[in-house]
Amino acid sequence: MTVTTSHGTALAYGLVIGVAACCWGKAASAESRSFVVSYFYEASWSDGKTDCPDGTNPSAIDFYRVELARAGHSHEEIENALKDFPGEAGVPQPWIPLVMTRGNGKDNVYIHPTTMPDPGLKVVQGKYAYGFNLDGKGAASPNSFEEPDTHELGVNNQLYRVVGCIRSYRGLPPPGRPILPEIHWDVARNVMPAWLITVSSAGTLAKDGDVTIAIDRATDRITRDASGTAAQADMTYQTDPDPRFHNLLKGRIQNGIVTTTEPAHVRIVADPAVMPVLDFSDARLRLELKPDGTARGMIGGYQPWRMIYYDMSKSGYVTEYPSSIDSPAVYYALRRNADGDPDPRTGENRGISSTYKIEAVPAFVVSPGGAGATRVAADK
Amino acid sequence: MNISVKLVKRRLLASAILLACWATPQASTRTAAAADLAAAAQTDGDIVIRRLNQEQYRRIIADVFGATITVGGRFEPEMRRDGLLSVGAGAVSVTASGMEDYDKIARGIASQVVSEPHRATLIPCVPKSATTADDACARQFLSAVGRLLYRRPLDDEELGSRVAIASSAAMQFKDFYAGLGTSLATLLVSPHFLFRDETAEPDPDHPGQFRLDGYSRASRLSFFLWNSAPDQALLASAGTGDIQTEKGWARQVDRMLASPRLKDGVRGFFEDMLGFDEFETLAKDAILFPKYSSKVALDAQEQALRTITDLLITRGGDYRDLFTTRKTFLTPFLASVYGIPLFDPDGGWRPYEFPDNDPRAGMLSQASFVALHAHPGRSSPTLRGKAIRQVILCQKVPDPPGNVNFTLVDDTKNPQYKTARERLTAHRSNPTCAGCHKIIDPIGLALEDFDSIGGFRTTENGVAIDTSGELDGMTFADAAGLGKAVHDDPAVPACVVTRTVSYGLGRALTKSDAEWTKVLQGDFAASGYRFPDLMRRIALSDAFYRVRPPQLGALPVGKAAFASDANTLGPIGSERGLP
Repeated sequence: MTVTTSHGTALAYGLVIGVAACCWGKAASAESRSFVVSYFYEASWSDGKTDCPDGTNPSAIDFYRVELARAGHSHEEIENALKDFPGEAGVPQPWIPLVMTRGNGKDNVYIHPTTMPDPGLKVVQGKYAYGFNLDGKGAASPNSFEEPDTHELGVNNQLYRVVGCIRSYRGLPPPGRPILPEIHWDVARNVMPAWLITVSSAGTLAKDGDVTIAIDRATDRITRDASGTAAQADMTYQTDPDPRFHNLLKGRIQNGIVTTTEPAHVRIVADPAVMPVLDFSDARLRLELKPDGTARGMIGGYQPWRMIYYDMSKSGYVTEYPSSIDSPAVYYALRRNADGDPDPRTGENRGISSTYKIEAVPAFVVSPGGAGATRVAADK
Repeated sequence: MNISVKLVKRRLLASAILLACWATPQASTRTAAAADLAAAAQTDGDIVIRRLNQEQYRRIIADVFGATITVGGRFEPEMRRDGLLSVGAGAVSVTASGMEDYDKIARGIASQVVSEPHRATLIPCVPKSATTADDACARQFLSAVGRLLYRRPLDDEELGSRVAIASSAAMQFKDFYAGLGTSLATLLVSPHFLFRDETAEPDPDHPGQFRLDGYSRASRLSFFLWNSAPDQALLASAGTGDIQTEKGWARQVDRMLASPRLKDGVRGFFEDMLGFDEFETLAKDAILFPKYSSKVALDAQEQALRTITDLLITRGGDYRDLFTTRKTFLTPFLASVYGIPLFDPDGGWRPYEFPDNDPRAGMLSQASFVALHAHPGRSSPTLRGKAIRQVILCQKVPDPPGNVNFTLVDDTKNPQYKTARERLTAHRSNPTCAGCHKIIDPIGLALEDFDSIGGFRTTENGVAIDTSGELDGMTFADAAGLGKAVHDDPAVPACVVTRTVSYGLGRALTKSDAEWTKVLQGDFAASGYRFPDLMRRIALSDAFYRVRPPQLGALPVGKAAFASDANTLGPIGSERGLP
């Protein structure tokens, strides 16, 4: 069994481990630091001015009016349906069946978004975006951004371009968390196993050098701290033995910042209530190991855009109206802005560049069988 | 609430207050050993009427009705006196609002006991009709339950009045069980239940002197050893008089010491001695210490209690080793505070042993001590040192003068004084403060490696923490050294002996108790500081049951003080509702 710790000392334990030795600085030849992901959300950068110069996308009641009229409903019919919008469960909400079929009047528009014409989602036109130079083209990459912190050019983050002018997805001011992804994450982490990141070096993480980065799913859910918002630091988690939940990336640490050195395929199983799986091709990661033991950074790569559409539209009007998300408009925008994984048959891009922010707190990670990870008192 | 119910409560309250203020009854001696005879003769032997604490109340309900009966509601706050809540319990009464709370709790319990899921197992008879009174069945139930709740049999008058209440209410509600529940609720708000009243009787072996009667002796024993009311066997022993015989008395004590319930008694004592009630109001700065939560507070107490019972009972260890032991128990949550990897799929308790080179050794380094005796946002060598003096060594440390300026000590970001040691050194330059700080800071500074919640650290504001210190001439380098110094301090076992006796008697010890406690201290040392042996020695000491002769003009003794509380209940008002 192995135990990795966030406190900066390498550990490799046998079946019964001298657990406490980890925390009081024995010399070691290798070092690992582990974290549990406390927050995970779409990396949105919004200064409120340059990102969406044409303004943000309208609220639900406004795009419902436009789209219902376009579908042939009379003004009176639309206003009658929206009279008490949004209303509440248990009382008549006549607008619901109307907007659910606002494409062709009969089919569910969330399942069949092409039953209506492209509403034309306003997308980000600004210069900056968090993310990575995924296609390797640098500044020459079409539709690319400049990273606001590192000022790297050629950043590919078309998912941000799509969602960045939707009010509930704006990270305002930077590096603020966008409200809807934050809520989704808050719900998801209550029900799904925790996500773990372990950075390991053959030497010490205090010096620049090569590292490996393991991304795992735990067998248990996250434990919150007293604030109820962040994860409790220094909890112990056991990794799920299923190899599908294990990712190993190669990287390098420099000045306390870990970056991947080779693109990888990263698959993180999430929760159907939020997103079944995050499936990155050409994945990159950057993680700053902070002096206080926490870590902040981001992970990016190309993801199947249809999965992202599923995530955003699966609850239909329930997500749409409070979050100002026009699902069919998002469908068309994702499809139009997809920039990776071209279908060899049709040439249409199936992937979209994307980046997510990571906030993590120190944790101990034990491999399966971790129940023995205690120093057992002789008499018990 | 109608007038009659208010009247009932007022009278119950009056009875409770009367009892709480009631002067002491009488005395007797019974020797368990020759040494005790002389020692016991010196004791005051005051009886103290103690209010049940919350833990005792809950435990009794669980013992009598089972663990599935939930006890919900707010209990009267307790009062610490002479270092113990159990001493303060003899000086508290029941406030008017407290009585209302007891009433709500009682009705909640009663309604569960008579509810359909429970009645088959908790009520020993089936009424002839569920819609009317059945005095025989009510009597059978109330007699059995009343004996356990009052810790003695109900007399004819008491039982008769309870049956009458059950009957009256059953007819009014047209529901036998509602009537029974109503009557049960009145038992649960009776001073005879809420207060541990003890009764004296003439001592046949020592004419002119008095002793506790059998039931009072059983109660004193049971609350001391089990922190709960006597069980059926103990009450039976009291009923037959067996408990007043040398053999019967020893048999009961040995049975109780061999019972798993001894852990409850030991836990009750140490919870009291260590002041764990203060955790209820302990707050930490959530910004500085986001790991601290009510769950950590509960786990910290449980860690200490598990460490204590494991060492003292399971392993039969030396009491003094509590301050040096590296064996303890942890939950993953508590381990996160300590910065220790500990995985348990259920988040439960696991035995854990700190390695020899670990700074944590003994109870003083556990969160239950260092977090409890610290400020919300910073550690406190002063509070910790004072607690060791007062709680562990039974010494008195005066409170600081009212006009002390704490600005410097509180200024944890002071660029000149970066560590608590530096700040306290500067603070001690004030001669008013120097006297006390001189005896408490050198102890508490040894625990500076532990922050306000018990987390480990080696620096403060970037400066290495110096944990060296001194306890009455014994010097040490760190917390483990402090634990060893405390272990070797003869005041430590002497302190726990006096605290244990005081806890059992419910009063502060006086000069007249000195001889007896001296004997006990010697026996404790001779036993290798085995705590159960100390408890046995106290439980079998005649002095433990000695009561003072009645004083001229004293108020009525024992049950008489509560006489007719049931009779004053009056008619059951329709607004009282179902229990």
